[in-house]
Amino acid sequence: MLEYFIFIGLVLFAGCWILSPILKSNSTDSAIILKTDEALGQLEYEKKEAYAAIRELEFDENMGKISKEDFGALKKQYMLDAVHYLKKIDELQENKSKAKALGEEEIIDQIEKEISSLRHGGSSKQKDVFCVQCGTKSPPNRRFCSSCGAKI
Amino acid sequence: MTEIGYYSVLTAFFLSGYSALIAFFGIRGRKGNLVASAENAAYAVFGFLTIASFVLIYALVTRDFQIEYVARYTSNGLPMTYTIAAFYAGQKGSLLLWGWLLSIFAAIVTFQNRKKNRELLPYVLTVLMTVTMFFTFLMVFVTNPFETFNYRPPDGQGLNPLLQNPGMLFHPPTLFIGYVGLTVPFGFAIAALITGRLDAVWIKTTRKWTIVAWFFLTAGNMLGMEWAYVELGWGGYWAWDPVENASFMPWIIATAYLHSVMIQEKRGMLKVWNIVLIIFSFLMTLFGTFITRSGLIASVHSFGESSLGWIFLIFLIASLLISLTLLIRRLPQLKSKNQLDSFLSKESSFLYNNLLLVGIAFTVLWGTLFPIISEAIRGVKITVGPPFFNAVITPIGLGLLFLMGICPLIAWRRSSVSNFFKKFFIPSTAAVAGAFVLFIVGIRPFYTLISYALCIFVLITLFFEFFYGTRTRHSVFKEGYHKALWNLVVRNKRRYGGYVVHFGVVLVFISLSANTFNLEKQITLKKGELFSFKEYKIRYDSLVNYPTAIKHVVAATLSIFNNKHKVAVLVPEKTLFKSQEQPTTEVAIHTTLKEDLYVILAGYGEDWITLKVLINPLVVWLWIGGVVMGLGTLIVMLPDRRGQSESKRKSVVRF
Repeated sequence: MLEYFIFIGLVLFAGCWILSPILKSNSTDSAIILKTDEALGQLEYEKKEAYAAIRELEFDENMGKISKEDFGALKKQYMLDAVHYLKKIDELQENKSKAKALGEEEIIDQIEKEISSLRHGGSSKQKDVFCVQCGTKSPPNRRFCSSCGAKI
Repeated sequence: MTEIGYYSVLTAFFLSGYSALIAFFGIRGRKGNLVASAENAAYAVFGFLTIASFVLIYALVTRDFQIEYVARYTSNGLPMTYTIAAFYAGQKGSLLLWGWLLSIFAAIVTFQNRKKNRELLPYVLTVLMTVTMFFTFLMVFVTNPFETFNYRPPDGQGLNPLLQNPGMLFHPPTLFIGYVGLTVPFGFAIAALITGRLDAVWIKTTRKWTIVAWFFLTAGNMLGMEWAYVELGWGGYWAWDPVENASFMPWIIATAYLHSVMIQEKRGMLKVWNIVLIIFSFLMTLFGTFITRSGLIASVHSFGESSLGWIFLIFLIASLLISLTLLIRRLPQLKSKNQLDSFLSKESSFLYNNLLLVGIAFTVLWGTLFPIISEAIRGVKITVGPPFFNAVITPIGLGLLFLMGICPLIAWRRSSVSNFFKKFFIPSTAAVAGAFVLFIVGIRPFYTLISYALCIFVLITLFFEFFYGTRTRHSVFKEGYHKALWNLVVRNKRRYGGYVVHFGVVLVFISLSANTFNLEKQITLKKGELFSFKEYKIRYDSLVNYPTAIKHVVAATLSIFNNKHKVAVLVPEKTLFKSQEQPTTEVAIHTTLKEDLYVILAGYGEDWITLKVLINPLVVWLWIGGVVMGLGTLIVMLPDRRGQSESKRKSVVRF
């Protein structure tokens, strides 16, 4: 007999628990709509995937699996994907804090930098270099200064 | 106590229906509290089905024979492990296990997505809970696992002797987990079709769940083959039985999806195709249950004719129609981002791979349904057996093996032809040379030769893939060779884990292709007599005859010699279970890396025995290949550090 009482108790408890969110008046209905943070998270994921694709492509090129022209074309496409996501991320973030809008060139620099840091496992992060002529900061894998064109 | 089991299922039935409806209307009306209520209901469904399952297990363990199910599948003398395993020995228990697993998965999905995928989750929940409701409906209204007699029999009928094998403990649950696991990607596919959110997040989630389901389907199928091999006593492990086919089809379609999804990720192509594969892999799990439970097609796994199969068919057709309607509605959104650039590219080789895999699935489906089709058209039930399947599937399988070797050699988009031939040269030369050597050694069957040549080809390309990868890392990143190899695999787990799976598949092919060299002999021996078979000598030493609590055993003791050395003592048995009329055979196997000596006690008299002896070459490599495939899948499934840190950084979104 006891088990029946326990069971009925369980059913009642489950019923209350299931209905509790509906009965609570202070729950916010708008929470279903995709929040900026979640959208950001998704864009971050897409960006990381594009980075991973670029890294894999570079590795394929190193292994001699892909021709130079195809490598260039494919890399450009993946880069544009990454630029697209980065821009969207920037747009979303701009709503939160007034970050300065980056130009395409700067975004590509940023991508190169992040990929190179990923490539080295993120641990032995390479440092940025500074131009000896004008002092502009450049990503580590750049051979020429993006500002004055001098050799780094 | 028994009623509690039934009422738990009944409660789960109502709650799953509630959860499915409320989740759907909650998201449609954008009411967060309704969705939250639906989520709680999903957890509660899991709770109540857990109670129901434990009530059944309790009844089995305490051998409560008043419950019809317990009386039918257990008996007083049945060992405890098999008594618990009797949970899924019959149709009713299998349904409960299916429903229970589904509720566990639904709870996991709900928990995993409590802070993400908030747009998709309510729809996923609707799908998972609808399927759960279907299973609980069957248990409540059609076939109740907790049905009782109005008297208490002193003993049960006992478990079918064929099921009293360690395989029973692992094969059904793993396969069930695989089946049920495929419901989750299906749920996400439907959710994505409804919301139109067919982006990378959808792929990421479905891919992860599909690989988990695939892992369990692979393990389940392998364990089933091993079980059939040691228990059924005909010397083989795969007979193209309808139920084997039923578990093979979802596996092969899931395999196709796991390959084609990469094209969508990398190149934004094949979006419709991927959704179709996910939908069909789920439908195939229902289809398998339909054909075996409807009694339409005879099988060793059949539970006899019942109305259940037809209810499955209705559910199957409804699922198919709803899925396809949703898909057609979304077609304009599923345009490819890119075109195939070249016939010599990873994309195209993946495409061919998909065509072959789906070709296999279709062949198996056709062969399985042929008895029904032939009966409908010509009025005669014609069953197609292994010859049909082997004849059609062998060449397709070899084509797949070939692609498995080609694919790593080429890159995405377009592989340079000169480069390709440079890389192609060594493996193909080795393959041809290998085939030549095998031909000289005396291996003549055409398909076997081709298969071994292709195996060599694939093994060498796989080796090169690891070798060049390590070397490249070594030279580019200045890592030591060990570290380079480690990083190569760890930093691209999917690619290199996938290659490990491929290595396992090659081992499986090596084993399967050796089937043509199986030898079989039947011999009657007197006590002390020797029998020579290839390099083995088998001596009949003694015959014992003894009863146990549940069976009567006749066991012959044989000494096995290999070149004068005694290598094993084998004891093949014939057992007569008290509850059964037909005797069953327990085969004895002496396994080496080279071959299995497989001995069946076919008959016996006062001082003689009749043995059926088989020599099956390279069988053990099939099991090793299965283990390697499993390990490779585990590498793929290892959590990504990148993903973890990302999810940690993600901020919390909650109602």
